[in-house]
Amino acid sequence: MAQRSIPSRTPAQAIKAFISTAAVAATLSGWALLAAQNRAAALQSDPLLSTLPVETAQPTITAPPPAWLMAPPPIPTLQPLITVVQPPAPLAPEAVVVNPAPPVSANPPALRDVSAPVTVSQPVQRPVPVVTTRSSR
Amino acid sequence: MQSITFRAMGCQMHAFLDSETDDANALLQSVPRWFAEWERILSRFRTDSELSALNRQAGEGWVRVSPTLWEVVNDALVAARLSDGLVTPTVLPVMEMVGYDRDFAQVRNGGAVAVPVDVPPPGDWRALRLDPARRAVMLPPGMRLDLGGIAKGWAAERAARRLARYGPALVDAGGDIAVRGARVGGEPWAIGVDDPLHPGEHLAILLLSSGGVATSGRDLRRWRQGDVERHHIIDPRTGAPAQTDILAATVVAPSLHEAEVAAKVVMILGRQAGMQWLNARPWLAGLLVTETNDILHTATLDRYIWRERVLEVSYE
Repeated sequence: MAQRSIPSRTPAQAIKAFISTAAVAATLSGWALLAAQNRAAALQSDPLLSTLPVETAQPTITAPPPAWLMAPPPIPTLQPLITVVQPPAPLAPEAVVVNPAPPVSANPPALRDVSAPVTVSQPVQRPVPVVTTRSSR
Repeated sequence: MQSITFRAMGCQMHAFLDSETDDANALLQSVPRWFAEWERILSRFRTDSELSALNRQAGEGWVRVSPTLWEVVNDALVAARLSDGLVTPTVLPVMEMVGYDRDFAQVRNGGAVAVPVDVPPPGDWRALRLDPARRAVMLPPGMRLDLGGIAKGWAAERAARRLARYGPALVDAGGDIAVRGARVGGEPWAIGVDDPLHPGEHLAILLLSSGGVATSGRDLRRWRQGDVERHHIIDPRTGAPAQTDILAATVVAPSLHEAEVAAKVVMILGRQAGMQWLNARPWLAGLLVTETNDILHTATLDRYIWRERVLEVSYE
């Protein structure tokens, strides 16, 4: 089986690594310091940001809510678009007045003569049976 | 209108044909011959009839029969079905035992009539077997057929049908009447209903253009057997002449066959049950005369009965 040998680090390489790390750390520290200074200067120069209240710890609210919040919202009253007209009550039936029959005359008028002769049809003749049904004989 | 009168099947026959042609007259003259031929096949009183031959072969297997006997036996079984067995062709042994063992003219004219005996109930019509393919009949042992009124009605209807080829026709077979077509001019045929208490007088006049009218009664075909009065309407339930409170029953029906069956059923059932039976069949119309001289009829009889019309006044 082949073995890979791990080369040992030389002193020169260690020094190079130290220098690189220190340089990076110094760069980051400098950037952070500059950023803090820039933010303080910006707050002092911006008028809008300078008027914001400073938040501080507040006690628990115990005051009652305003009356407008507790009252139900007002419901608007709709106006009808069409006015419904109730039908008129049915009229009470009117009494029918029947004229009394004229009194019977003691002397009725004579019957009118009819020019056409009146005929009475003869009753249909009783049919004469051609045969008679009876129990067998 | 032409007509012919003759006797056949123990009854007075009339045939009418509403036509004046010579052909119609020739056909009308043939009617007695038709009836003689049918009687030769269907009579139970003739020992040489085909029916008598069939009766003699009861219990001997299948017997091929003529078209005429085949049709009438079938009609008889239809009658048994329509009447729940009240009108059955199997009552011949009972009929003979109670004295109706020969032509009624001989019975009425004083021939010796055997004394009453206990008779067995008539055979069950359902035991009669038919083979349509061979036109054959098989009677079980002891069964003998009487086609009586059914044969007479069949003959009247068959004759009327033949005559109707030449014009409106009516055939009266001893009071059972078949009608084919209204008379020339459209008038129906007028048929009287005999009064059983006053023979010769009419209880009513019926107007018919088609169908049949039949009357069943115990006013005519009756006789004494010993001290017992008998009549020819056998109640198969008792095996004896029907105990009925009806003297005569007339029925109008779409066919004479149905009228014949219905009239006999009503006679057997009696006044109350008979009227119920008729009223349950609105295609029938009935008129009954009871032994107490009550006259009953169904509402449907109004379709046929002639009534004097109310005077009509007209102005010319």
